[in-house]
Order: sequence, then C-alpha cells, then structure tokens
Amino acid sequence: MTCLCEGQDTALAELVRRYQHDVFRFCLHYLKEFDTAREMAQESFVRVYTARQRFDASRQFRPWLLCIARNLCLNELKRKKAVSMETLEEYATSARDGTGDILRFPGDGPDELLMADERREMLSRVLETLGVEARELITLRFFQKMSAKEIADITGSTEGAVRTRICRILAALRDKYSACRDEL
Amino acid sequence: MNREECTKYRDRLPALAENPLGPEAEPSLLAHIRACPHCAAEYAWLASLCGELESMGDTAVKTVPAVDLTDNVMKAVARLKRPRLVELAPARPRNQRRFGPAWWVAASAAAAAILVAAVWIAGYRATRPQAPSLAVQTPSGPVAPGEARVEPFKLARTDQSPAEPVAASPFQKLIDEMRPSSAATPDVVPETQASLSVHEVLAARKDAITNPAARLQLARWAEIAVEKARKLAADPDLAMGAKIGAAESLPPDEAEKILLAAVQADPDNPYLRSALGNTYTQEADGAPKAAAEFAAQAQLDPNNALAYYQLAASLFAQGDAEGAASALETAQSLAEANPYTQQAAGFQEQALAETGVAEEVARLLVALTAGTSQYGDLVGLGSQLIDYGKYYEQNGQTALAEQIYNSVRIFGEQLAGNAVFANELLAGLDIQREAVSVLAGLVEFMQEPQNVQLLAGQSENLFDALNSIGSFFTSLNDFFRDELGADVIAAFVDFVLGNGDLDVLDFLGNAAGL
Repeated sequence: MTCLCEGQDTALAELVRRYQHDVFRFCLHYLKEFDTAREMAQESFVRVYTARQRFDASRQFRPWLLCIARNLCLNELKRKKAVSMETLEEYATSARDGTGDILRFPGDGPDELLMADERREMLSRVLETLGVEARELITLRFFQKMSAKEIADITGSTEGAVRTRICRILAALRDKYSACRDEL
Repeated sequence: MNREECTKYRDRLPALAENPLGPEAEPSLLAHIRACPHCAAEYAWLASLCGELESMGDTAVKTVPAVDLTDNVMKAVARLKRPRLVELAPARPRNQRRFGPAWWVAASAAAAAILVAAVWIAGYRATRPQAPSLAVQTPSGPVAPGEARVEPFKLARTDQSPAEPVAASPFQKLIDEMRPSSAATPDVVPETQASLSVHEVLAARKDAITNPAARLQLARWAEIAVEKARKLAADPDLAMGAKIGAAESLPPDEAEKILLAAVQADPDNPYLRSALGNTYTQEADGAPKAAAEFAAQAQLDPNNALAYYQLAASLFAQGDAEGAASALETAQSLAEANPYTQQAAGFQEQALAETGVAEEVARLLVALTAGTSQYGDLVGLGSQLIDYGKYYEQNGQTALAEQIYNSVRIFGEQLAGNAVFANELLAGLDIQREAVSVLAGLVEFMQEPQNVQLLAGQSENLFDALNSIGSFFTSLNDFFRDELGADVIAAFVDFVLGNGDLDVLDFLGNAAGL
C-alpha cells in the first residue's frame, strides 16, 4: 500500500492478486449474486486506488479494504432494494454462479445431512427472524471468521461492543431456537 | 447445583461458546459447567451452534469459484487516468472547458476503437432504414428553399431513443430513467402546494430513486400552473425576475409580452434574448423575429455557440440555407455552448417563491430539477438541425447535410465539455449520439478513413461518458437514500444553484462512498 501511495501502480496489481478472493467472497456474502459480487469486488480495488492518499498507514490494509467493499455492497443492496442477507442458510446452500444457477455442494454426504438438514432448517428459520444488523454480524463473525476487532474496524464500532452484540445474538438464537423446537 | 448459580452463569455461556479461549474462560465458570449438567448441555449446544454457523460459512466458501480481477481493475484504473466527461472535480468557472475537440480527435485514434466502430458501422449501414420523405417525416419540419412556410416552427422535444452505434452502457436503464424526457409532461399541471415542506420534497426525491411517479411529482411541483403564472405576470408590483420565471409556464404569446418588457428593461442580457427568440420559434411565422433575437444574443455573448446554432435553425426555417451554414460554421469554431441553465433556475426560483411556496422549498425544488427544460430544448434543437440535414441529404445536397450533421456532433461536444448540470451533459451526449448515428449513415462521409476513425473514437468516448454519468446518477441517488440534515440540504442547494450539480457530491464529500 505504501508503494501504491508513492505512485507505483504495479503495487495495485499485487494488492488485487493478494486480496481478490477474500474481497470477492466477502462481497458474495452480502450480495449472493456472482456477477454483482465480482463487480463490487473489482470496484472496491478501484476505490482503493482513487482513495489511496486517504489511507491511514498506521492502520491495517485488509479492514480498510473490506470496509470499502462493505459500503459498496450495502449501497448496492439499497440500490436494488434487496433485503440484505435475507437468509443466511439459503446463502450457504444456494450461492449462485455466473449464470444465476444454484451452486450445489458435492462434499456433503447424504447420511451426514439427515440430521444436519433438520437442524439447519430450524436454524435457518430462526436466523430469518434476526434483524439486518444481527445477520451481518453473524455473517462477519462466523461465515467470514473475523475477529471482533476486525468486525469493529469494518463496521466502525468497538471490539467490546461487537463482542457484547454477538453474545446477545447467540443468546437470542438460543431462546428462539428453543421456542421453535417447543412448537414442533 | 442450585438454580441461582445457574442464572448467574447462564448469560456468560454464549460469550464462552463464541470465544472459548477468551476472557470469559474464567475458572469459576468452567468449574460450574463441569459440575452442572444443565449448563454443560446448554454450553455444548451453543458451542455446536457456533460450529454449525462456521460450517455454513465453510460450505459457502467451498463453492465460490476463483476469480481474477487483476486485468479488469487495472483497465478501470487506466481509464480513470484518461480525461473523463464527468470528473468530480472542484467547481470551476463556466467558461473553462473540461474537454476540447482536440481530446476527442486524439482519442479517436485508438486502433481498437476503429475496429469496433468498423464492425458496428458496417452493421448499422446494412440495417439503416432509408430516410422517410420529408412530408411524412416532419409535418412541422424544414421547408425547402423558397417554399412558403405554413406550420409554425417549433423546437420539438424528442423522446426517441438515441442511435445504436454507441454500445449500451451498463447504466442505460438508470440513465433512461433520469433523462428528463422519460417523464412525460402531464397534460394538466397541478398547482404547487404552498404548504409543501422540505421534508416532503426530500421524501419524494428518495421515492423517485425507484418510482417514476415520484419523479413526475417532483417535476410537477417545480412547475408553475398557468393560472398562477398569469397572476404573477399581471402583478404590477412583482419583480421582473419572477415574471421571467413565470413566462416559462405561459403560452408563447403571453410569454412574449413578459420577455419583450424584460428585454426592453435589460437589452444587453443574452439570456433574455435567447428566451425571447425561443418564444418566437414557437409562434407561426416567428422565425425571422427569432433569428433577429438570436443574432442579438450572439453579439452580446459572442463566445457562446448556442446562439449561432439557434440562429442557424431559424435561418433554415426561413429557407436561408446559406446564412444558416455560415452560422453553423461560426458555431463550430467556438469553444463552448452555454444553455443558461443557472440563470433560468434563478428566475424559476423567484417565480416559484412568489406562488406562495416557502423559499427553501422553492430553492430545493429548483435545485433538484434544474436543467429539465434545457435538456428538452437542447435535444430538440439538435434534432431540428438534423432534420434539416436529412432534408438536404434527400435532395442531393450531401455536403450541406454533412456540415449540418457534423456541426450538431460538435454542438453535443461543446455542451458536454462545458456542462455543469447533469441535464446539460446528458443533452450533450444524446445529441452526439444522434449526430454520430446520421453521420455513420452518410456514405460520402464514411468514405474518408479519418472520418471512420473520428466516429470510432467518439463512440468509445461516448460509451465511457455514459458510464460516468451513470455512476454520477447512482451516487446522487445513494446520497438521497440517507436521512439528510438541514445543513447538508442547505449546502447541497447552495452549491447546485451556484455551480451546477455535477460537482456537488464531491463538494459535499460523499462521492467516494467511504
């Protein structure tokens, strides 16, 4: 990033190579559409270039990059009037390829899936009841496996606040899941 | 294990499950879990929930195909380094051109573009329909030299979609939605509500992002009903500025009276000359009077090519092809075309405020819709000139036709290059597209290799420019999605009315979306 700020454009190509998969997956979590995610990932790097002089060298690059990507994705979701992250479970099992077809996962064996299916179905129903912000935190923390510190950097919060919020969400999931199970 | 102790530890279980090695892993909590089957089961459940959620993420990641963005990113960045029609730069004086003809010509040398253009030009020429006969084509269109004119000369508003040679922009749908002509002028313009609030206008603007009816509503609010305009015109105590603004809503004969008085009071104002000339063009046999006003405008504002294009159109309408061609020649040699959008917005604001609308609401409405009528007038003028070109082309005067088409192309460049409002820029681009289309169909013009190069480069640049304006519209819509404070709105309005809207997002620091 320092090289890029000093005017070495080849440094941008290296940054793209290093972080493109990360950013693309990140965007896909938000947008669920292959082409749009690729477009937003690409635009994230272009924004990195245009805003390079504003990068704070004392901060880490990855959270800054993902912060840009997150803003772009949220704007895109707003633009499309899509409800962001409407169903995490649906995303996990229905990421779409470039043609819009559902990508299936050959790795999951049928036996394993018998119990998992039931539990996931119930879990997905519970996840759907969460608010947008809670679903975003679940995505970042568990799908993207980010630390609370990284999430705080990206969402403009504090590490403590993120931890507290995630624990509350887990507690809410526990209660909702129990209620859902009792109904059956 | 007693229930009281379970309650004490229960709320800490999620934190431990989420981060087993974190600060929650206190010995007392761990000891409780080991001793309490109930809490142990709950902890196990929460830990498995976390694992389940992570596995859902893993499953998704496994399916994500690899992408290579390097080439596209580097191309996009390289494109950023080239001159762009919409660059969110600091405000600049109106007479400072962003892009001169030299840039267009230089850019047109790109070999790849030539190839692309050759392909579409070949395809286009193969499918291009023959120009219809004049009688069918334009009932109120050009007259043959020496032929008596019956129909009034009008600057027709064209809603037709621009020509095909320029590749469709990914933003095409958005651009089409934002294009003023996409919102049909209502037959009956409801009166602007005097009680209208800034909040309601902003809500409509937000709604307009996705709802065409809301866009139309905004346009209606910004217009002045004819009856109200008449009242303003009849008020002897009203400032002239408000009356000039009201004239926009009045029939030509009534508008003419106001503008004549205004010109008498301020004879050296080129905007008033232009407005009066445009009013004459809407009247039967008004072309000679229009030409006189445009000639006066050209004298008062000699660097503004618009006056000469308007003059040329009014001369063509009188059958004076030679005079019109001379006017076009002068117009082509100038650096800019200024449609006076800011001046018109100022007068409209005064008139709207006089109808009883709160001043801040009037300013906001005008800032949100500035350039709407200019877009229609400019595109109409371009189409009108092209219609004359088609007439002369059909009558075998291809050299004159070529000059007309080419001057319209340059007219579009001049508008785009000098635009400070998105509607001015869009008009410039749409006019260029139409001109490129007819030039591409002109066999004599396309026989010259350098002309093919010229159009090829222009097509590529138009594509880029449409993408740029599409990005701008996207950012502008994003800006209005958020709840905006009164200070932000005030800054937005002040900037737009003073400097145009193309640079406003940069000015407000929202363009980067960071």
